[in-house]
Amino acid sequence: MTRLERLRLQENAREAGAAAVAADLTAMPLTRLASYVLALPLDDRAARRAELTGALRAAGRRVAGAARGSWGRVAAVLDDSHSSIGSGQKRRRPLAVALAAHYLLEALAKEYAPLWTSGRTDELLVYPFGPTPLGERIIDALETRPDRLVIVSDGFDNAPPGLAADVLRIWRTRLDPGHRLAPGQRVLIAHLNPVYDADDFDVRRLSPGVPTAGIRDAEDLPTLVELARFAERQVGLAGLRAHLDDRTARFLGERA
Amino acid sequence: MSFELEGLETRPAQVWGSVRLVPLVRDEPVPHLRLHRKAYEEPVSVVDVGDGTAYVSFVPHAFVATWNDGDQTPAASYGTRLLERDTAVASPRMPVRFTRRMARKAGKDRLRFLPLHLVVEGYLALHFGGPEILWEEWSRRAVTRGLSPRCEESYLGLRVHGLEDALRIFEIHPGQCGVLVYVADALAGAFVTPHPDDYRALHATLVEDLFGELIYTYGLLGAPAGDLSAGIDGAGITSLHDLRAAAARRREEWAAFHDEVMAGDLFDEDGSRQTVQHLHGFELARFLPSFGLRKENHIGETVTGADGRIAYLKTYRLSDSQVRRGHLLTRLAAHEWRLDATAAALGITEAALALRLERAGFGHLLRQDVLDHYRAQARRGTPA
Repeated sequence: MTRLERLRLQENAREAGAAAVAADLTAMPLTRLASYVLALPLDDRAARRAELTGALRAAGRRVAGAARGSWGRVAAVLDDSHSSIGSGQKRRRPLAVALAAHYLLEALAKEYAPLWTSGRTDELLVYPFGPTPLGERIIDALETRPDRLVIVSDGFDNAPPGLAADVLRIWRTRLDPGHRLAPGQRVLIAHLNPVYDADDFDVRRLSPGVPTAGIRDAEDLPTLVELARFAERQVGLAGLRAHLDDRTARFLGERA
Repeated sequence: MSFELEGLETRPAQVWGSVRLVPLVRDEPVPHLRLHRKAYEEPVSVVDVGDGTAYVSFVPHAFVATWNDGDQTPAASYGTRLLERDTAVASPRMPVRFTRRMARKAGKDRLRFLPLHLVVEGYLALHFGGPEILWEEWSRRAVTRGLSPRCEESYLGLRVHGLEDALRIFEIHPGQCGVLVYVADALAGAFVTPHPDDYRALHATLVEDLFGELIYTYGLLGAPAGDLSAGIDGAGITSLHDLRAAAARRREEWAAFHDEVMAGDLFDEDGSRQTVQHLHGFELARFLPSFGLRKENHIGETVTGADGRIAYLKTYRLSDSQVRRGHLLTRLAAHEWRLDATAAALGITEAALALRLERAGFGHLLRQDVLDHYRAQARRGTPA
């Protein structure tokens, strides 16, 4: 059986008492594992907390690879509002991406401050709930004085609407301590959007001044953030190429 | 007469297309009042009220359910009622025969609201009281034969363009107990419940609610609701603390603007209010506007607690023709339902008034021979 088949049959196998189908959670890819965790009822998640958290952390560390701990102070604004339930076909995908990104950033950062839009602190028990106060969360995140700020959200800021765009604009033009020095000295802010807007063939941006990219798998997060750094002139073309070559080699290495 | 929506905080609106939904949030739910447990989709055996003391339950107007007292046919509650904790609803009830039109693609046992324009007419009837027996007969006739063809239509929320999507996409705030619905920034109605769980149970049923012709037309026109959020000017902001303060100020400005300007006409100071029921300190009342022509007129029901705060609220915005009819009825009621006095006050003849009543769909209020007499007079063209 493939790994995905094993994962899918886990719960049924448990009920039927078949032990041979047990999937090895520590070998699962990060985003798939996050989707699996979110599909479990809350009581199950609480009961299996150690196992699930261990598997998620291991997957995060595996994706981070050699870059573990190299990102300095990182703050993340993660969207677990009601709209992170995504579409009916692939449920809770935006939330799964956010959860996977959380564990990946935890592995990559030296000091990490996660901020969920609902205000929750126990990430294992998240479910899509509540409105999207992105503006306020971004202010909270910037108060922790990070080197990098990653926002994982579908961009539908509604409590109140438009505040996130204003906050980002005022921060980058007035409040960022590095903005008067050189563009490369600013806090790196990257907006990763797990939802694709079919009307515009694009992803919804929070602010025109902040690099925005669509993200489907959390495993792509380091590359997308590196592209954002390149756009912000924090890394040159040579550095970007080196990063991409490294990812390619790892990809081929895994497959080979 | 004025109400205060105390205890309810206005939060930022969520817009989808031309529909704007403004949430109202409570710090604490109103104690001792909950939605009747029959109203919950999933069978709820016990409604949690916290300290387990006696509480009052309410059944909203036009709520269709099978009330299990031996009679398995579904019936609609006629007017909101307050009941002792979850007891079965006795009269007044209106048995309902489901036609294909009314049956939506919902579960068999699912409770729903009565989707006929009967609801609104019945509402007006309830509000006016009047000679009881006449209204009963009228309502019985209305159920079996339908209403006079001259009444205007009300539109199910499903047909208001964009409302269903807006309700589905809306992100419910924790602690949210109410909402105001605007279509093209015209207030369609307000809805408030005592407890956030009750609100969650009833939020989706707004799509089964009725809306007048004005709202339906605005929905059809489809003009997107404007962006009412005032941006934060960067001037004077030198720290994150200032930014936070500016954001808080903006929140307060929105709440004040909404309460005064957008929802300011919800309650009419010149309108009237009639208490219907008292139970354990809760008061159920119906309010009517002054029926001023070319104004916003809302009718509704409220349940207020002992401290005067609104615990439950449901309003409906009258269309222009309904306002005209309501105006006529108000004049009649003010003159104790006497044709001669009312006609004199309005400056027309009795015959003209009788025909006006008939045109408005209230011909059955008059005795048949009286109405025939006036009709004959009009045909002959002779004065009374």
